Amino acid sequence: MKRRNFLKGASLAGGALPFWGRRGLAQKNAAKTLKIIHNGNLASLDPIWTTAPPTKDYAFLVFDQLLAVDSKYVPHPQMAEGWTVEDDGKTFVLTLREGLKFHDNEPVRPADCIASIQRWGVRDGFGQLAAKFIDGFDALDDRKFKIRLKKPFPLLPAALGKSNSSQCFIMPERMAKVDPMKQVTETIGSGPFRFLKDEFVSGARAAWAKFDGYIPRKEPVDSIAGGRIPAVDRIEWSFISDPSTAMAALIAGEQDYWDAPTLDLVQVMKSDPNIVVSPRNPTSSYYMLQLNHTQAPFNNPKVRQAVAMAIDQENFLKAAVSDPSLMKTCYSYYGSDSPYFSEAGADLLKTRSIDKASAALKESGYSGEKVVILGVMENPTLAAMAQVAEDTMQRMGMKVELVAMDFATMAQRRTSREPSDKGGWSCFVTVWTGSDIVNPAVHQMLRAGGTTAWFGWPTDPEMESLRDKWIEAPTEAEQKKDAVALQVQAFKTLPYLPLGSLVALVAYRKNLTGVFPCPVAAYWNIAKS
Amino acid sequence: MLGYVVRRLLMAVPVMGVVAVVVFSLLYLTPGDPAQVLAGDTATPEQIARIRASLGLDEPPYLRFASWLWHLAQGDLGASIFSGEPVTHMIGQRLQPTFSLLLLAVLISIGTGVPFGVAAAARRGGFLDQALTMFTTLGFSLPAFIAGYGLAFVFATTLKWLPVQGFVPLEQGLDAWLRNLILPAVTLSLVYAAIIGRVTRASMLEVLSEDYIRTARAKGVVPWRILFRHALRNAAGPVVTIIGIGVATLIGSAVITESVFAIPGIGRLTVDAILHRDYPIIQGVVLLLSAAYVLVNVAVDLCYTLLDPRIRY
Repeated sequence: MKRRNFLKGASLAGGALPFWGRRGLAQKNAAKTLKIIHNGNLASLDPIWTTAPPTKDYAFLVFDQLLAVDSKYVPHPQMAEGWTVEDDGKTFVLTLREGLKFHDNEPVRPADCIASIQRWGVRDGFGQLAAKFIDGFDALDDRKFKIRLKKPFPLLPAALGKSNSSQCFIMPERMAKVDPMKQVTETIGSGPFRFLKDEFVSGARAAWAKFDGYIPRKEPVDSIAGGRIPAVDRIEWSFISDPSTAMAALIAGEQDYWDAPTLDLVQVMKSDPNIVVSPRNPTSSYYMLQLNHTQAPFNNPKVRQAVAMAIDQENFLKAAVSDPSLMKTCYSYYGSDSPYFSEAGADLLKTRSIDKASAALKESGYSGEKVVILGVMENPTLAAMAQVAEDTMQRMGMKVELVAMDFATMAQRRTSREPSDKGGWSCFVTVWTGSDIVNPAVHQMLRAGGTTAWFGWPTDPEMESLRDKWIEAPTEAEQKKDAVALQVQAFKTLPYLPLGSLVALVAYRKNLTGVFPCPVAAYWNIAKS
Repeated sequence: MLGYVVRRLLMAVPVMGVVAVVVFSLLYLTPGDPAQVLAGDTATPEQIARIRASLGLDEPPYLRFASWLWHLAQGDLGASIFSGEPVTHMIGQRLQPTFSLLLLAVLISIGTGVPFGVAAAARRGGFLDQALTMFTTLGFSLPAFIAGYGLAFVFATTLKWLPVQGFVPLEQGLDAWLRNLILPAVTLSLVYAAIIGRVTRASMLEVLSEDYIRTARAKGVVPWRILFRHALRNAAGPVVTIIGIGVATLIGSAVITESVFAIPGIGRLTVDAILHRDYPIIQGVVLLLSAAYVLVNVAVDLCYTLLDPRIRY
């Protein structure tokens, strides 16, 4: 070797030495860092602008809510110290807890809360409903403000404390004043963790640090209500799109918690003594076959009823998972944990007979119109259920075409009201969480206002009228009566066909403590030893 | 030489212009509405229309294309529809993982493919030759996601020698950077090394039958010197060509490898952008990759002059 070349190589190696051996800088505080595998792509940082689940999960760390519902969907104070109802239900007075601060150390003021409620009221469904009742706001002092109503709206606390998207998160006034159709660029909240924006790589990784100025409530945690305690110093999300890699990373101890493990890998993880696999979201995931009411054949109520008779929820659920403990039939338009859960009116859905369905189809006047199913193939569960729907309708004697596509294509095509041979559609399988279908205010798929209803555009003035009645019902008993009456009517109209529910699981390493049942991916209160 | 490089780079401009038009047209024809995805399931048609307008998606395609070109001319690739971040910033964040992966994969591929090909040619019909045939068949036929899972299972999950997934930037230590990249780089290099090995072998066999090789042997030159000094240099032309072409293959395979090993690179960014119809990112990435491909080809052309003194530009 020539001397010159040797010296050149040695100097290069010397230059590299500072890089070598620095492994472990991040491992130093490993026990205080909670490493989470998230399946979704965190792109937007504005939970009001988008309902994307990763953004909601991000927001529950960064922002806080005035009120929050417990596991029975009863609202409790969260940022608020409490509230009073005055003026025969036409005025709500909310008082903020002492010492609440944003991550820039500015105090949380009524002006921040008012602007946040106003922005949320433009975008969210329940918020829009609340906004119709709200007459105005008055800031009374540094911690107290008043919401004036045009007429009593007993559901206002439930709206402000709701657990499904979009939640009424409180932002600084300057952020909340941003046009609701444009996303905020700042990430300042008053929640238990600060977002570390300089470490954020959209779609790849995100990190949060404990907010030392956060004052958790003293009450024990109950769903999203109670104390939100930042139990680790730092939280890191890795977005691992490949389920096998995610499982291997969890088993190897490179990650601590997997938010939504693929169900067919559950048995492998259960066999590892260091991994806990358990249901965390008590409200489960509810699957539905959405029908297009504006086009043949499902514009014919008798065809809808015939298909309802053929649906066997167990067939749909078994196509997605093999473990019977993970599936649950649900013959209701509300989730099993909803205060309005009932099987009233569901007799047709319990028929579960292809023969009876075929006979009903013949009597319906069905004349061989093609059923076009939009199948979202990137989601294994939705894809499997779409195939079962195809098979079920074919066995009934219907002409069926399953069109495979990705979610973005489906999201656009489902907006088409054209006939299926001109770019339209007949049905698709979709999924919502239990908290999305807990009551008629948040339950988008129980709307039947025709063009203003969800995709499929069912029209039933009676359903809309029963919903309005429920909104204004003054007592819980009357609310339940109206909600069940709405369901009975819905089972006549069949806006969609319930396909049952699957338990949403999480998997985590045994050295985590404090994982509590919650309908959202909340990471507060989780500690790591 | 400099004039040639400048000419080649200038020739790349219309190529990339065509790429831009094709990509824009394909995106326009692809179904999917980012405004619909953004607005969520509870949005009204009016809200979706307002979002579409705020993103400029309601403008005619030719106006959107013209606006994109105008900004491109100023070095601005636009902003992501979903995150609002500049596309250049988002691509910049993903360059190091992808570049690191490609670099290591290329080094491994050349480092194994070339010596293996030379040795197989030197021992034609022997054990090494047959081993190369077996390796190349395996390399060609094994999909990256199968090879990746297999390697991860053995070396990460079972033996725990290497991490399962993730990427550590070079600034955090060379060993951590390397440990995280070894498995994905080996996965990615399997096909590439197989191609290089096959081409090297074929090219070497041709050269080894030349008269000047026989002369060298007759003069008593030691075998390794004949192989690497006399034969390989003359056989390197096709090998360099295949290395250049292979970079395009590698970029395509990197998408799968990045997904299997959860590497936050350009491949993952592209897939996510396509799934969300984040048009500015897709356009930016495709332009970047086409530019990279053009540059690699220029570099390959320049390599010819180093290997063969008769070639002059």
